[in-house]
Amino acid sequence: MSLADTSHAASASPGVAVRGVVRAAADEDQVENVIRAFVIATCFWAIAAFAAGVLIALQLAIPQLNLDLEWTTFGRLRPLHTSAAIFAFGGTALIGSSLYIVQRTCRTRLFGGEPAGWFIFWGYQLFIVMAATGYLMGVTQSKEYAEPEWYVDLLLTVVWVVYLIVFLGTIMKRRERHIYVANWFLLSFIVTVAMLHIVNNAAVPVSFFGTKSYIVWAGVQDAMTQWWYGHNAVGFFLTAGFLGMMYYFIPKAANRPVYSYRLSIIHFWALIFLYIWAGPHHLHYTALPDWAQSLGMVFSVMLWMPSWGGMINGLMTLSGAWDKLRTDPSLRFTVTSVGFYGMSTFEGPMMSIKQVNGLSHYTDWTIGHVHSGALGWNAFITFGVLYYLVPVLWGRKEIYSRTLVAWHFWTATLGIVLYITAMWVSGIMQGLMWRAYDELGFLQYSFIETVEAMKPFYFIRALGGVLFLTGGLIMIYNLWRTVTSGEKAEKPVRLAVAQA
Amino acid sequence: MRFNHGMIERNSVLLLVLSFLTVTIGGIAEIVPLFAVETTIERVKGVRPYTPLELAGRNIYVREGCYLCHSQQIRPFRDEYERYGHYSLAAESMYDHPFQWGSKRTGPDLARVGGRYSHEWHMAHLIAPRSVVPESIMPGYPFLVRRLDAADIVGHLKANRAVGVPYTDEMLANARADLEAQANPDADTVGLLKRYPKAVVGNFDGDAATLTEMDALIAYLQMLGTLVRFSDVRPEHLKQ
Amino acid sequence: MEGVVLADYIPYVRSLWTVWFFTVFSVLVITALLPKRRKQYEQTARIPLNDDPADGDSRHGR
Repeated sequence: MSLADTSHAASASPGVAVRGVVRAAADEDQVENVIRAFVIATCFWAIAAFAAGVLIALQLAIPQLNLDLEWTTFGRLRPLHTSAAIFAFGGTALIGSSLYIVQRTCRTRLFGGEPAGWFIFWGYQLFIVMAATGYLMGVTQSKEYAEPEWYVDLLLTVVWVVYLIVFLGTIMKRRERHIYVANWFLLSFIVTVAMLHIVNNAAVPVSFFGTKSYIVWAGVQDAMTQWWYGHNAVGFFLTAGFLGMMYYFIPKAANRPVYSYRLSIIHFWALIFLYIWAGPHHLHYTALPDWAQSLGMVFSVMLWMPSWGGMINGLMTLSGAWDKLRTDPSLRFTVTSVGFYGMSTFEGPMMSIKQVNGLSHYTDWTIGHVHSGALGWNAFITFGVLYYLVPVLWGRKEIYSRTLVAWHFWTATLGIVLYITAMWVSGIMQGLMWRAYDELGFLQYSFIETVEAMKPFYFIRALGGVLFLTGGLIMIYNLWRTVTSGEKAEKPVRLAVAQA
Repeated sequence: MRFNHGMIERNSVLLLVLSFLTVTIGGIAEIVPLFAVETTIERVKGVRPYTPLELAGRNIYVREGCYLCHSQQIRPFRDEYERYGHYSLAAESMYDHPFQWGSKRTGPDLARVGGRYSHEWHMAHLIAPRSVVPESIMPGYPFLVRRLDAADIVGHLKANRAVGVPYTDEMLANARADLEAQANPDADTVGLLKRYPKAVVGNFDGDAATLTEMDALIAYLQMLGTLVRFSDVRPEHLKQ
Repeated sequence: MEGVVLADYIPYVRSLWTVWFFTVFSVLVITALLPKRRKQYEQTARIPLNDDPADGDSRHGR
């Protein structure tokens, strides 16, 4: 801690000479090349994930698009879409920004330096490509959001352990006395995902040279393990991890500290204490014992409180600077994403109530709920982070075109609205049709009639997806022009921001 | 470093351990009780491991991601009872690695589809779904008429045994023969039916010469939900 | 049988974790709410605003 002591002594008598001394220590280069690679990969996977989503949405509306080929059926492409969205797009954004945040808030170079950073980057990209090509070839465990087979799981485990070591190592050699709250969220995300991944994917391969394995868990235990994993993948990957992003990038872009740091600490503990129990709400009215279902429901409803605490914290950070919502491209997306976070975390607990779930489960309502979170929260906050990071990392004064940012914002928002309203209507309608009786006491609709009734909504949903994809393409063009033809920042942007 | 306040926060290892413990205990309390089989699985008779052909068919079901549109889990609602049959029991998937309960019904539930349709219907439906159900949005699977690759079927049974499915040495020794016999109407199936009661035997895909992926998949679909005889089940059997 | 042994312990395990869970959670929340931490929170909350490598001395001392 000698460095920290030096700086404390230094800050007691600020001055040019002292500033020089501290700089020598603090100015140690942070790893940025790797972060740039993560940013580029995030853009690439965004388009891949959105395009795959549009394709499978269209397949549901026009089944001929399955082409009767084994590599192009919905069953093989759907994991491709979900993995591309969650793990490729979301995961790349998350890992990249976490490595950026931890260096900045710990004021130190990444533990392990560039080699470690590049190992994480390429290891993770290899994991994505191996998983995705496997899906197309029919190599899958058929466990939702945990489809990759055993050898891909092993690769991810190695990459993840290195990631944990690098992240933790960076925190341990920090030059700040305290660990900023974003790192708490990120660390809990890394640790929990490691555990979820290992437990849920425990399997016995048929042979060491084949791809097929059998999961060690059976039936109801596998169901419970899977949704313990599946729900916490949402809770720790898509929520805790992205909250880490929120707690860094919103204060940073707004240039004011988070509304209540105390609330953020409580938000953190409440979230990790409650989330882990909520998994069984995916298994209401199944063969899972009732006590587990009730446990899942109670904790899911309780989750509503910390989630909204976090939302208020994010939104109120802007209090007194609301005008930045219009002027700052990054904040426009990050703050809207927090709004969507609030909406999804209200809808989620509601859907975990058994009676509501009885209607919503197995229908498109669930799909709509997932997308209000995935598009509105995860993708929007990632867009905001990209609009912030690209000028900073490439030393540009600002984003190439604010008009294009506005176009991106409104096309994407309209896309989300079309998507989730179509799924609400079709989901609730289908749920009601399944349980409708005619006056003679017979089921009113055959199953296929309910499928037919979905058709218009499948088209509307696909249109929403096309709009969202279009927005993503606009963003990439804008970012590309920012890098290639944007005005160079006079000084590094970060310095300018800090002095503002 | 001072430890008089903010110790947890400044000590990253302690933070890590605390987060991990919290989450682990959560997981343990949720999952461990389910491993006490006596409290989770109903005491019903009839559930047996899959025949080699059914297992091969199940692997195709898994490979093609059927679970993404078809659930195998009937809930205890009146409409589901009338549409699909008795609600699903935990016991019915006790040999499923992995489970295939699913989470979405873009198509109907398949937990009790066994015996509902003829082999010919399944064959036509899988090759071209809209030839039998015009409004269907299911993909066609014409490529499943290719030869079934089950060279390592014994290895598959062994792997299942390693994760707890009670395949006997006899079942392992006869795996190859059972695989072929189930899809061959002329074969001697006495041994097969003794080892795997209620196995559906027949020429599933209408092509007796080759053992195809279609044979395996239809054999699997035709046994779904048929093992437990619900007329024999009394309430005390269903207590979890 | 192993399952029977496990099943016997479930009620105890569940009561124990409930107690443990609420104790730890309460301690953490109370700790977070202690008024004396206000100053430290204010400093920590400013970390992202002062984190630029070229701006090394803006950290708050004790």
